[in-house]
Amino acid sequence: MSEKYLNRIMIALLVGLPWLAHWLDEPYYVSLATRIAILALAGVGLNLALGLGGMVSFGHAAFFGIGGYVTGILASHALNYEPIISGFMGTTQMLIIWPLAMLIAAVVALFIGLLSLRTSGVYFIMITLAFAQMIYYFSISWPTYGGEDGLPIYMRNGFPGLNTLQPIQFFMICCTLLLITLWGVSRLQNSRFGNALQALRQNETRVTSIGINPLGIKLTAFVISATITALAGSLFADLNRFVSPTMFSWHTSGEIMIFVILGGLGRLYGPLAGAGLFILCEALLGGWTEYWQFFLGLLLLGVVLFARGGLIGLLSREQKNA
Amino acid sequence: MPNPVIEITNLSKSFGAIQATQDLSITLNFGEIHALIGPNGAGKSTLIKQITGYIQPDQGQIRFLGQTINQLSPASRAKLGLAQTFQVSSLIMEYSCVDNLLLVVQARSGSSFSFFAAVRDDQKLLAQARSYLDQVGLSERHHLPASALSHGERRQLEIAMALALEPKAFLLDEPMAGMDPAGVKNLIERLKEMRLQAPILLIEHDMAAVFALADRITVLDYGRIIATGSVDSIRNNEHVQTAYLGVAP
Repeated sequence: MSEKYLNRIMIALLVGLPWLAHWLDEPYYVSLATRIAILALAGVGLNLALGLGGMVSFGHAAFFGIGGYVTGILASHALNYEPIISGFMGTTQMLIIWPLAMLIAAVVALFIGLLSLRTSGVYFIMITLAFAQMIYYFSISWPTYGGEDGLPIYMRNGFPGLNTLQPIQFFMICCTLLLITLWGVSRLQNSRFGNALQALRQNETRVTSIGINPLGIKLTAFVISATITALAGSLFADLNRFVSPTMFSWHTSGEIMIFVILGGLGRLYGPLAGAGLFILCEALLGGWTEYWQFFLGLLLLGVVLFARGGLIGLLSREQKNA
Repeated sequence: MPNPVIEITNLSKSFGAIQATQDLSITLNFGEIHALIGPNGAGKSTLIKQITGYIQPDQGQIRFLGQTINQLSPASRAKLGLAQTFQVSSLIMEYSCVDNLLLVVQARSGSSFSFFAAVRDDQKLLAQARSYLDQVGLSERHHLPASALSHGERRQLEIAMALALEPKAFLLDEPMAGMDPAGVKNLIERLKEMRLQAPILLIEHDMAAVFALADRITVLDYGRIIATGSVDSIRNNEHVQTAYLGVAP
């Protein structure tokens, strides 16, 4: 089975199954699919940095959480009629929240990237982790927005013309954003920028020696990657109607990384396969034993040891073409 | 074209107690092959790295095309027209031969900050990449990933990448290393052609190749120049014979 064919099947399942669940009146499965779409989106973001650019960011929870908190803060101000800054009351409109969440994440990513991209390997992993943990502890100790208890969003934010409280409609929003992002990243992958980025992952010295400045390319990729993950964080906040410091914790960074690796590092649809498998494991095995993560660990071990191409590589039996 | 193309004056670099480069001055003139020889650890590669910008000198000045480039990043120096090949082949291993060259042509012909249009749809760029592959005789292997090439072919691809940069100077670090005699012979002919395009600073241990190619030879030992001059003057220089060519005094 070719990778292309496999990707189409995954899209068909992702779009089709929730509608089936909707008609069978099983909203739980619709929200499960929404979770998959959102977490896959977060993974698509990380995959751009990690899979294409070889930047092992262990701090993407920072951007996921920023997306979530920007959403929560804007909504809570709007719902409580308290201005954030004089004249700006916050908003409950997704179309305003998303760009703001992405913009703020981009600014933070620019700062984190500028400092951490001067290192590589283990140091890069530790610095990105350290930044994310700094934000995590800050969110715990900042009482204004709930501190350790988190911040509830009493009503899901709105989207013009849609009733976002209806699970299938909110699912379609998330799914559409995921598909648009996948399309955008596939274009980016084959562009001049993607060409340079993937070459940098393999041989930075060589790419530098032909006149491409590695920092510029990597920093740009890191920032784009962060904005995608922040968008996912914003949707995640709306899905749960709640944000908490957990979104910033290193567990979250680890989980996003697991989606990417399970699905297949650098494969466009890898995060979708990985997030799908992860969430299904959690839902199915989790109902059977509370130690389901033990089996997830075995699975991850199997992928890392025997199937470097991840789930997609295993199923498509296709070498990744650069 | 300013002459000399590369002009290095009073360059010094030490790593702790080791003087890798000691008050070294050297030039590369237009149209010449200037060979740099010396025993292992003489500081040849360190010198190249200072020219390309991967190592910062402690003292001294490096001028390229009349401009001081000490403060420039390695990428900017390459962009100005400094092409290098590495002692150990350095390629984008998962990329095919033609994609390796496509990347060079892309880097030379404008920005890498284009996010949308597919680079492999650019026929002009592809045609250029293929033409450099033709020049080194690798066209039949164009679709193979660099990792699937033999050692000799990898060296060829490196040369093609240096050519594709359309540089103003070549810095070649042991291009003959590990090649079979037929390959060496081929490469000698190729370097003779390349010199017409841009001068070559050549580090090489294969003395037959050096004597066949070089217009000037500079001999380094312990980071210092112990002799410099024409092929004949070096061949007959006593210092060089004891330090490097292995002739008993």
